[in-house]
Amino acid sequence: MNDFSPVSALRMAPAPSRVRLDWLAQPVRLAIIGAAIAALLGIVAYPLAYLLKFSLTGADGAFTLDTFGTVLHTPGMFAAAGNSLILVAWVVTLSTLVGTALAWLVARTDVPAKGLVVACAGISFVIPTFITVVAWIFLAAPNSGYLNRLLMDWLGIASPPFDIISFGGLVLIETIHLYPLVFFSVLSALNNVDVSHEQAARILGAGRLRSALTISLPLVLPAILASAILVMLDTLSSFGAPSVIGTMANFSVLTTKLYDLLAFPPQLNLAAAIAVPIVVYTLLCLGVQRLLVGRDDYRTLGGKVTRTQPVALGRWRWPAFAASLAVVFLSAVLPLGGLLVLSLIQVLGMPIDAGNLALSHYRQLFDESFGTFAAFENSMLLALATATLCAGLAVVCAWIVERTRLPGRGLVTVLIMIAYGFPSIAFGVGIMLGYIDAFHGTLTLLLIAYAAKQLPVTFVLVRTALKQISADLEEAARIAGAGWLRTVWDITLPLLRVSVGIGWILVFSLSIRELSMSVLLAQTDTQVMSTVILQLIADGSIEMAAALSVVVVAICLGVMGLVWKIAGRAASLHG
Amino acid sequence: MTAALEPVNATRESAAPFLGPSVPDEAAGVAVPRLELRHLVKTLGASRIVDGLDLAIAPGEVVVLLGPSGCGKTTTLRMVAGFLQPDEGEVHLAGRLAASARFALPPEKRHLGMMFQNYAVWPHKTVFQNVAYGLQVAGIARDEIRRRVERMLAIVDLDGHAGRKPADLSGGQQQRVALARALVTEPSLLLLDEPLSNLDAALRQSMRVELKALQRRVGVSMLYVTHDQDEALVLADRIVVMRGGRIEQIGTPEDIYRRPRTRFVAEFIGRANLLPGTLEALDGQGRARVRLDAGPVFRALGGPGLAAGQRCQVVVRPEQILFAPGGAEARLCQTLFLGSHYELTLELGESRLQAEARHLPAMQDGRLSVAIEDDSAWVLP
Repeated sequence: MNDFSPVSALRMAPAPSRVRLDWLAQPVRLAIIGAAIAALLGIVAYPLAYLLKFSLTGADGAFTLDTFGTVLHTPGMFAAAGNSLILVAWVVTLSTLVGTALAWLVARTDVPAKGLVVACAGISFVIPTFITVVAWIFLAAPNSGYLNRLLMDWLGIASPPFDIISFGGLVLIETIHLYPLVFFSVLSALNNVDVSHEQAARILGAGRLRSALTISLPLVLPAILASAILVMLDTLSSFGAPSVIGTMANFSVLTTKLYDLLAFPPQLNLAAAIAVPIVVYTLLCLGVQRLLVGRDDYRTLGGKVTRTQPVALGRWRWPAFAASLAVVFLSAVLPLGGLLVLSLIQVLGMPIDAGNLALSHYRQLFDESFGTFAAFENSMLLALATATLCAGLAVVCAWIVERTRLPGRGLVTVLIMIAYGFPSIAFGVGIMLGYIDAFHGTLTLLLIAYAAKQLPVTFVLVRTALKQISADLEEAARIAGAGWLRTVWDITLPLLRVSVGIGWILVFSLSIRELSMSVLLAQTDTQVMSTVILQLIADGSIEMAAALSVVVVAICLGVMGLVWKIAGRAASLHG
Repeated sequence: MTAALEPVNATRESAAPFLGPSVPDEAAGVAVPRLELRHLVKTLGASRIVDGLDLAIAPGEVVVLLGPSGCGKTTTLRMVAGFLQPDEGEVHLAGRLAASARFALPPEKRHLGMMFQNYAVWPHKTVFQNVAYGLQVAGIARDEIRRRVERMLAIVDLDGHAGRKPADLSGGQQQRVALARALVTEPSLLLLDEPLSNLDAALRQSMRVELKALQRRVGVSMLYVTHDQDEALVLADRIVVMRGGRIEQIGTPEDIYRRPRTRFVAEFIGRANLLPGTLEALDGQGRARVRLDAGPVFRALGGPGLAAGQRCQVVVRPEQILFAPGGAEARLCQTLFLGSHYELTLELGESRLQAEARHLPAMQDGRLSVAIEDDSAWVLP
């Protein structure tokens, strides 16, 4: 999605210039790069150092490992860890099966409606779980759930068939949210595997199934494993759905337990001590993933389906279609439809007809006397600021890494990418420990957290694009008389505009739906849409929660469409 | 490339403000070198990429840095451009210090033009915008920019393409855009980093000729880096042959080809047979009688410092080998037909010889008689 490749930039470029000269003679460059590095240290290194320090010190500030012991003996901690483990096992297994099977169907067979499957996978990955959970509660809560009542009426059964307020319900919601990771990763791998590999096996006498299992599967196995690890990490660090369902069904996982520790009275050392093992585990997993993938990997939505001769499924075509349609239904149609209907319902429990549907919840949302409007403003402001900050930092940092010989520039990459693998909630704890005194109750606190966590998205995009732009283009401008800043402004930025734009939009959308850190850091005056949704659910105003969720979903889907369009246009212009 | 150009010297005078106030007065009759390198050194780790280079380029002169890859020629060019800082020595541009180990004028302040190996034409700007950029940065008035860009585009035969984007141009046209962009600011020195190496062979040949003609008309001084000896011979007023960061020889193309100072130069430029022999006599006019170990005796040329009776190496070019009866007997090993001539591989005594002939010489049993042209082969010092 970021292969902006100007004709002349594709020619072989000489090694990047060894710029050693005149750092002092160029105060503007020195100031800008210095500021970027300082910002990076401030928003990433400093909170992480605090996190580590707090986990290793007791109440008196002396070094101790006791906090880890205390964590283990905290009531319910063992059960929470166990729940996390079981949840991860289930979600990884189901996501891998569903994602791989769907990817194979789409990439290699003649199953109908492939575009629909791809679109729905995109949608269900973009919608965060604290929003889908709202829809599912409406649809499948044990007694009031609309689907339950519908089926009980139709089938004449006495007990509700579904119970979303359960551990199984949580597994379903997480799986629906995360299978797209496996799906897109395997889909793109399958599309990259030359069909001739399979055809060679067929020529040698292997059957269809056999050639798929013995040739294609091993070739995409790294993609499956790598994405399974991402699913593992995302499940482990997920907070939205576990918090809502866990509260109602009365069980905890590690992230919700960590959140409880920060509730009054806040036990910062203990929270830090839980966060550290999650972090260590995460970094280990990312290390394994890097080994498997063998390169900088970044999950991107968007599988380009190349035309290959599809496998004819024969009589299995329609059962396969039904299965993929079921996934589409579960992952997009039901939750989105449920959310929309719920947001319009006037009296919950009454039949859904014209008299019971109205826009009053939306009117209330945007009534300035009501608290949600402030949250909407806060979210938009934060998303704008975060996206802009990330885009700016990403350009300067990518330039440092790709265009200078500064010693320690490799550390810049490490520092940025650490935040990528870092569980949000643990990172939130670090931000809280590091900045609570300076920025308590301000949006700045949230901005720091958002920017640090989402910088990797823009950085990876911009760096990849910058790599493809020959340094000669910048040098030519210098020779023509332009200084560093003017060169960056006139040459580098215009050439990076597609990547920077896509990065900006993605970060905007990620910020709009951020919950895990916001829930730790937002105070009365700094509530954002996600925290308000969680609060509305807790207060029982689920219709209001649905209405606000629809707003968030609309923004996120709009943004996704925009990215698709820009990336597609850039690809067709330069591809 | 037929457009008229205003008197060269007038435009060059108008460029003077770019050069800053510290340019010494050229009217005094002393031509200030456009570029002067004084004992330039660049190290990378333990190795000296450029190892003590001294060079001066006079106004209007074309100097070509020629050498195999890794000889330090591109590093030298990048130090002149300002993308690298020397570790020792000094770079002077138009009489002004531009770089030393302690000081570096940034590239944008050096008033240079540069052509890059991969054109480096900005893909997001039109042809006009590409060429106009340097003038815009310099703050020239809009009308003046239009006038100068249009004139420059006419010079490189691109009038009518001003509104196009580089992606719509051929490789040769992009190269001309790069050339126009480099020349439009009337730089005091034009740097060229293997600018023709990305073009196909036919285009490379014609661009070579055009570049030469254009340089003659515009009169710009050039420092040109290449590993292509034909390019060097065609374009250069002087060739600097480099090897291992040092200058192996500086001279006119004729000097370098006919009077190489070292074995390396002789073998790098053109094809050369290096044959051992003995100096039998010297006439004090640079002529010497040489007896090759393989047999032939002939009159060769040589520099000062040779002594009669000494052992020597003689550079014999393939075209200096004659086929006439009464010479030494050689065996023919291989014949290649190249259209305009034949290339022959001969065995003369212990040595192999590369020779050229327009017609296949007379042979008997695969043996033929060879001699070496008088007053053309060169005795290495």
